[in-house]
Amino acid sequence: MKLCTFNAGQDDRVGLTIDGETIVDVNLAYAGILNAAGEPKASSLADVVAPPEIIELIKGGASTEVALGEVAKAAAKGGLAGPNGEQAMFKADDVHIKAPVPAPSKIFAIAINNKQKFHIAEKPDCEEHPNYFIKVPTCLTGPYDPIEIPDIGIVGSEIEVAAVISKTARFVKPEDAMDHIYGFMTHNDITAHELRDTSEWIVSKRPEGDVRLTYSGRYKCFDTFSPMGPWLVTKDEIKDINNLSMVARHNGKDVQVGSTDDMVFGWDYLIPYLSAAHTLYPGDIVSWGTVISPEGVNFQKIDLRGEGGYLESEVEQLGTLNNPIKPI
Amino acid sequence: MKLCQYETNNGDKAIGLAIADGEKIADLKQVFQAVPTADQAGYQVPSDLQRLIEDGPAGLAAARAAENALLGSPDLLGNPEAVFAADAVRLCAPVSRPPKFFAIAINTRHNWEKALKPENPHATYFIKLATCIVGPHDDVHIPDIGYVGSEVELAVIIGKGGRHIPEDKALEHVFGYTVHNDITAHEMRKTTEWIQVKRPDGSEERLTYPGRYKNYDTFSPMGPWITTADEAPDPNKVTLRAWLNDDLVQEGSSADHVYGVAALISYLSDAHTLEPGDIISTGTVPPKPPWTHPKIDLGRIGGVLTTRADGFGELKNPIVFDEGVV
Repeated sequence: MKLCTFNAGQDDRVGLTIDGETIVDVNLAYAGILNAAGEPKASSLADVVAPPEIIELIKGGASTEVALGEVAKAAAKGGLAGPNGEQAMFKADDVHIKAPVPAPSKIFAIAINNKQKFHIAEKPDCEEHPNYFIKVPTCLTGPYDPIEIPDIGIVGSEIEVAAVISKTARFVKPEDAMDHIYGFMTHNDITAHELRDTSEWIVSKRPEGDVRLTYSGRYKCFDTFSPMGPWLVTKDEIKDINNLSMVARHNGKDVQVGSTDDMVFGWDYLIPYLSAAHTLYPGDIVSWGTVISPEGVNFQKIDLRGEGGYLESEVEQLGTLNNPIKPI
Repeated sequence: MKLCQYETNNGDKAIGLAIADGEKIADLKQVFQAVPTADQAGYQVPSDLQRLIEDGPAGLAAARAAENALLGSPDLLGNPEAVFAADAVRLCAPVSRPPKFFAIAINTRHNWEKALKPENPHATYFIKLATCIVGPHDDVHIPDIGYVGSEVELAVIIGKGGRHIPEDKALEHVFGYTVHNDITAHEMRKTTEWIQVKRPDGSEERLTYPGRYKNYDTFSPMGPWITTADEAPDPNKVTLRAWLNDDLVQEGSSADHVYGVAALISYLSDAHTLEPGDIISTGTVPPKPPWTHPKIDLGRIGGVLTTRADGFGELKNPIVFDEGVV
């Protein structure tokens, strides 16, 4: 199932698409289906079983899955409408498609998780583990929205796959990890690479010795630095999450190429590892880490703002972001 | 005005007015009923303080009208249905699910001046998670990850959102202030949360990531209330102290901060759209000698962590050591 959050002029709504071109308003369509079946309280029931807000929908149980299945089945036939004839099907081009989960409680992003870079890096003398940082929801922007880049030196692409958490949990076991993931999305973890190197660090002199500290609050977190979507693809649709090709193109030229097979730490490691420290909530996002550049390109030197144009981020089976670059 | 979030005996959340130096809590919704209908302006007092902050001037005016009605009415002050002893209710963190939670790193002038810095230095910061936040008297859980310590701070609660806020208008965006302890896994930061990457051009860079060492569940006790901006003492001259049991382990003043509240709001808003309820924790003060970070080992020493910002209130959090949790 491919879900999204879209806006057709009023409130944000959960959408479902079969072909990527038509978006069905899940809540209205389900109310319409119930109404046609003679259910007297179709709208109230649909609000509970097929809520119009994505995190509420993710929290839903078996009855929500049934509702989504019915909407998907009916959508394939077409002609869906709300219980009072409201428009429930939209052309994707006619609505604003937003980040699929526009207001998550948390956004984790895993640092340096590709085999090529991880294995040559110098690491602490302990069991190998990932590092990570937190992004803020104001980073999120839709799959076709502009990425707004201030004059802060080189800002570049970091294409990633992001998972959406399905339920509240702490201390998840490796064998249960996939039960805690609802689905996956394409994400570009836009990064101010130059700012990171030149200004977001300090070497603190401490009685116990010097410590070089880098802080990711700014260089990862400017508004619009997380284009995401267009779809939240439920995990059952994905054949092999560990073998999806990933490519980022700047004005048509490949600047990052790789695969989810490049990741050092997989979901059976990451979900237990994160949940050992933090209670996970439905709708939380975990971005998996980026991939490297093709031969002859260094993606950390690609100056999106200086060169302008647009950035495409494509992950096999998940979908493609296509964001214009807007210098501000 | 001191506004708090509390939990009634049956587990319902409610907004409270802290009065009598915080000895008593009045239920805002009930007290608001005593405000003349014309002055209520049709406002519905929410159960969640975050909502009242989002309601902007209307929320603040309603709270003020309620406080005036309360303080002018001995009957209401004596009504056990509306006014309780503070220790008879469970105080929660004033904002438990902020849209964003920024924390400023190394803002103490002494540490900042002797540190090696970039050519044009400015504030550095990281993001904390809402799952860190617990109430002013809740347990803080310390995992089994080496010494974990205290970082007493004053936190700003944003009232009015905005981007590119000029410094001279920044304080207009403050709803109020609260006390925060930015609990930090200092040993873990030093030993495990870094990686030295080798770049294609042959250069190397050591990167540290604060995702974990700052963000375990319960690592941000906060409260006991929000002191609204209009009644707050000068936030740039606050004595900040923390005690581990009877020992004073941190002491200093926000007067020694490199970046004051207005500068921080303005700087953050250049990068991030600020929203009502956002939290900005403004930076800690050094350990009080002979205490050092390695000695302030909350998990192994145990007991009670007391966090105070003079004029803004005090947190008292029992420490629970979670052996084996890493």
